[in-house]
Amino acid sequence: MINISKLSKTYNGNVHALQDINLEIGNGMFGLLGPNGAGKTTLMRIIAGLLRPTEGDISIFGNDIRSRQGKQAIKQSLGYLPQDIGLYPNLSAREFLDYIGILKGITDGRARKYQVDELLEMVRLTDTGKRKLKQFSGGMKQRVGIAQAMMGNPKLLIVDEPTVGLDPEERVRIRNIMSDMAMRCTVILSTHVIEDIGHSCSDLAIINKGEVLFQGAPSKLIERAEGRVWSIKTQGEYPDDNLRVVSTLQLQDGIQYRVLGNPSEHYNAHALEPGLEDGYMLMMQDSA
Amino acid sequence: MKKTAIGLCLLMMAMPVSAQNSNFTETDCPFPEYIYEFTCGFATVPENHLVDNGETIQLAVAVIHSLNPQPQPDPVMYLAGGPGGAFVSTAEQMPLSYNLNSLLINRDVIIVDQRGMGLSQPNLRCVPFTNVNDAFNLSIEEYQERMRDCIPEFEAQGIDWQAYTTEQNAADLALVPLALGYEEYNIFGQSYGTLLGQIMLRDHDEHIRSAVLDSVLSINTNSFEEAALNSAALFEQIEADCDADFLCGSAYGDLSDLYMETYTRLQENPVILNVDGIEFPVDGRMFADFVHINMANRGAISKLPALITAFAEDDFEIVIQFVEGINERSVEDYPNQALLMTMVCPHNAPYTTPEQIIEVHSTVPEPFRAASFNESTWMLCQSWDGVPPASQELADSDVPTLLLGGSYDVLTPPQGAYDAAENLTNATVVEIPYVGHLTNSNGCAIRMIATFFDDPDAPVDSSCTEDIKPVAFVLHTTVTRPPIRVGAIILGLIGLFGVGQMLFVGLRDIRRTAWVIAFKKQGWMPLISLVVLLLLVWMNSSILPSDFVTVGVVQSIVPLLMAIQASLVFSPGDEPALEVQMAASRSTLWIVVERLLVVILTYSVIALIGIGLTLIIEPDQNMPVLLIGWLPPALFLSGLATYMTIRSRMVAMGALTIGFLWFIFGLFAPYFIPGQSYPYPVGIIQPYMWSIHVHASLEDLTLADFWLNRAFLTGAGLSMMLAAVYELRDTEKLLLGVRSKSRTTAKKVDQTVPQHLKPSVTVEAVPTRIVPWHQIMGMTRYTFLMRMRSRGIKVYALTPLAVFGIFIFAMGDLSFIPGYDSASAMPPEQYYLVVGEMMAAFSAAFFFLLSTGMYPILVADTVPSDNRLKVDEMLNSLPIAYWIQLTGRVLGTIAAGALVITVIMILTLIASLWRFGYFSVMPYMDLIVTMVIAQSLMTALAVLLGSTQKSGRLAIGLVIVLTLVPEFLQQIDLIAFLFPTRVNFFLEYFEFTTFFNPGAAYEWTLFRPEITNYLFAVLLQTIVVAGIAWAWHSYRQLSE
Repeated sequence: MINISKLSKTYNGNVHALQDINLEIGNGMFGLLGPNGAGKTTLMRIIAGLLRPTEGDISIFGNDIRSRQGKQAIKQSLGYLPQDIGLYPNLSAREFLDYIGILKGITDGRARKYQVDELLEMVRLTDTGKRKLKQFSGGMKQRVGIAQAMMGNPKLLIVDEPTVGLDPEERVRIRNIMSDMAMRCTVILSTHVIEDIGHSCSDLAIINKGEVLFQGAPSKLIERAEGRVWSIKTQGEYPDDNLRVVSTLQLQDGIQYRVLGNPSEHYNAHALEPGLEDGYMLMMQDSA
Repeated sequence: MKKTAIGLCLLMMAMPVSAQNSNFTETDCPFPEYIYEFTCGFATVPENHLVDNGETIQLAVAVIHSLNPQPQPDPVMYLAGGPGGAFVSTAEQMPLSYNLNSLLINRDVIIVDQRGMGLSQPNLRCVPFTNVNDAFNLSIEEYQERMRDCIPEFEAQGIDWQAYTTEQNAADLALVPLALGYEEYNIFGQSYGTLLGQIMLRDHDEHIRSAVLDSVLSINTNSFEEAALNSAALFEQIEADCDADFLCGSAYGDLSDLYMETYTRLQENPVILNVDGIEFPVDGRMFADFVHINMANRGAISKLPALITAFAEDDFEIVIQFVEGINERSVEDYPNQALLMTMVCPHNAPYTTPEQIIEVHSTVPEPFRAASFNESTWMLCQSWDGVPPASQELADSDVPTLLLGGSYDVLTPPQGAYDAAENLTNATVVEIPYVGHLTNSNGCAIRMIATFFDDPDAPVDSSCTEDIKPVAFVLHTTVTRPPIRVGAIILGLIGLFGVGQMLFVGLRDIRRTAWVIAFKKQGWMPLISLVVLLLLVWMNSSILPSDFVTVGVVQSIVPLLMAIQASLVFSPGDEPALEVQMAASRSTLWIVVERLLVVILTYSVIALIGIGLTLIIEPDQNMPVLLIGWLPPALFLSGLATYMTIRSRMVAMGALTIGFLWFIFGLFAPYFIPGQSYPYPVGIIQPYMWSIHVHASLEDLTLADFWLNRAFLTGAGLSMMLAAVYELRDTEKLLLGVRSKSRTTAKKVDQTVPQHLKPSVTVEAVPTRIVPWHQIMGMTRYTFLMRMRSRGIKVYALTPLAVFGIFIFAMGDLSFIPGYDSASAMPPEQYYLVVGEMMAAFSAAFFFLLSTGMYPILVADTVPSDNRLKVDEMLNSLPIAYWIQLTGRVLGTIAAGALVITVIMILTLIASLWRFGYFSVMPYMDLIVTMVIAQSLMTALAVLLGSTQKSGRLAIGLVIVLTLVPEFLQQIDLIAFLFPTRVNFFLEYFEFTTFFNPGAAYEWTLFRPEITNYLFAVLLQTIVVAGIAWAWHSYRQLSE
């Protein structure tokens, strides 16, 4: 259980990155959604103990992040994949994982080797484990990053935008690994790609401009869009200003729009089943 | 007169020479034993062998024992030249300095201080000179008078000075081996020692097994008459050899014309030099003296055409050096004239008259007469009377004798050997071409001498003399100037083309130049440079090593500072937005061009401020040199730095290269000054090296040559900048570091999406435990691994390996170099000891420079590079403390460096075992351990210091400053203690490596005081820096 209460972070120069954040994160996968610059990475870094909060308290599995011992205890049960992971170019994937294993305190060499084998298998890099990391593609590097985060079987896995810049196949693969992880530990997944959260998150929060806009199950977010998602068709003219266009489809007899809001009668709109993306968009629109 | 002399000899021969007449008392040796074992002591012999039961005198004796545990029973007695050559007090150096190692393989060698000299008692010493001017310009009358003043002193001491003749001397020496217990012995005489040897062969040859007489002064030679003739003949020979040599022949015109003209000119209008306050006139006779004394050995003769040209151009540097050299000597070291009176004059002077000398010399050109023995020097011999004339009867003996004469020997030409051999029935004369006085400086002669002593009855194989190569004459700057001028023009044109092109592109695109960014990118370096420069200008000569003071602070320091800045200008690996910049429509080359221009401008301003301060402190300056003399070396080093950085992709490489070069130019400055004689093949390039001498000063070169040097440096610098800029044209190479990586066949990776997307593998829980030493070990292990795989360490390891490889292979055999003179090369035994020592010195020098300078600079960015690689964020999320990280980093880096040193040292050890047969391991262990400790401390210092920086460049810069600055601050006591210089450290180390001793037991004393001082200071620095690193880290954490 992770309890975040009244958390604020102010950077030098009076930049308020986070303001009065209150979150409760349970087991399974917790999605952290928000636009770029919302404060997701700052929050993740604070949870990982890399930054210290300006105000507020965080307790992670009962450990206080502000105390030395608490921070150490958290770090011992933590797996962290930063947004922009770098790897030592001269090491192989196997060596790199072994290195991190040692630093994480897996003292038994055989256990470490066993875990490296398992993790490489999990991220499907067994065949390339001996190649130097500088020869790896972006997706492969990201998978090594996930594997290093999983070293030492962490209770809490923090993953910051793991699918950025990856092709669809890689994205699917990583998403699957994530949800697999979520079965065994708490995973905090920060992303601005809503599909990433899609199926596997039991809980999510949306933050924007350093504030929490929503916390709850994905279904709750979808509920909020109930009755506000419509399909309209026009002969080329753009829908009214009060409508938010989510997607556009060119048809033979006109253009079909998926819109949010309350379309006026003349559009001959018919209601659609809302999705997660619709909920998110409405949330952002409402907060604006 | 002649009759009497023979009578004396007959009397002497009648004297029974046996061991009963002398005895030997062993004493401690007056020197540290070195390589060989020694026996020292005094032999007691009669002062006058013609008198029974007279006074006795003590002869100092040192026996150098053969390395062979079962040496041949017959030793070699060395008959020193001079007279006055007394070597017992430094007998440990004789095997090396007089090339006796070959003889010592199978035989002991006996060194004796002949009567009246050295440690022998009493000492017959009389020196009429009181200063350097005396030695050249004392009148004959004054000389005679002062010499005569010595006689009452001798008599007061009860010395029978008339008995100190060569005959008596020979009689002494015949007793010494017998007193030492040897029944039979060989003699090896050189120069005056050959006269002694001939008399021994003539009068006392009963126990002599064989004799080698090298550079023979025959008993019947009359030097007063012959020396000038020899001098003229040899000069003719040298001129002919120069003409035959392509380089020399085409470089110099008619040498004898130049010699005569210059002689006449100087004789009529002498030049008065003021050396260290001494007025020293250079007239024609002085010039002739210089020419004459430079006709006695191969090396000097190779410089003779250059020497004559220098005098002809009024370049008297050699005279100044000579006078300074003599002036530094104490009067005690001036040659003893007493021995000349009793041992040499009686053989020559009585057999001629001044009139006869003048008559014989009538055909010899004046300069040769003026410089050699002549009627005036004959007068000197008349100072003492009372010593009877010596017999001129030649030696007649059937002892196997080898007589050697060098054809380049003006003192004892080969003719002397032929003359002396006339009545020797079992003699062989070998004339050795292109070799001067004391032929055993040549490998061919050494081999012949050693073979001869092993089997004196075998016919002498002198075939190696045919293979001796002619002398490579040193080229004077008049000769090297034209090609350098051409080179400067070509390089200048290339540089101008580059500058022109840059200006053309630049002016076309002037608004796309990022001046401000380029200026800002320099960071704090210019400010630091300015402070350092002003500080050094202000403190000037009290701080700077004297080598650099001659060229002035601005001229020596600004180039280094600017070049360090230039090495930071652009390195592909460190450029954050490299891809973006390359994709921009503006040419990539501009990145370097604009930044270099800004650097040059910035440092011009800095230099101008420095020049201003210099003028305030010392207004008396050569303005053009002061104003722009610094710029060419600055351009040269900066060009090189930029090129090296871009080429190697490492800032450290560029900075290291120029830092290293800058020091090399400083430390080995004489090498870059023209007019030096160096062995082949170095001798061919060396005459041209002054063109790139960055620390050249007006003391080394004439004004015109100085500006030519500056022009050449400018051209070369601009050309290298152009080359650096052109490196950026290959974008693929720029981006990837290599042209194409296709050689490393990448394994095909299965990229297909698995059938079942959900991974089935589960990660089992493993207990984790934070044990600091375990983490430190892991950190160390992987830091070590990464260091070993980095490019820096390869450069670091390969540089010394390559140098060592060449060094070791070059030991015996350079014959793979075309034109190498293998006949003259020393035999291996002659240098395995020398080389052993050189290796110790060389490796010490090399490694102290590299290990305590280069490696720490290379690894200084270990911690900041995590930031660049973006691993630091992840590492910080791990449950380990910062001190564990840092300790692991330091230890891993140290381990990698230590491994490299150890491996190289062990390879060196193996190579030397293979090349030289044996080598003592202990001193090497000593060296390795000391160096590993020194390097480890410096590395720790560098890594810790680097960890306080966010950027790798700043870290490297900081460590460079830490490495270089102390070298200049050694004068200030406290700073010298806290920041001991690496150069001093090396010199102190070198002092005890001269006791490097493969033959004898070596005392393991690792923590010598001079070393511990250094190590302690670095340890102190490391602890302080560790504290700073810790504080810095805490501060950074707090500020986040």
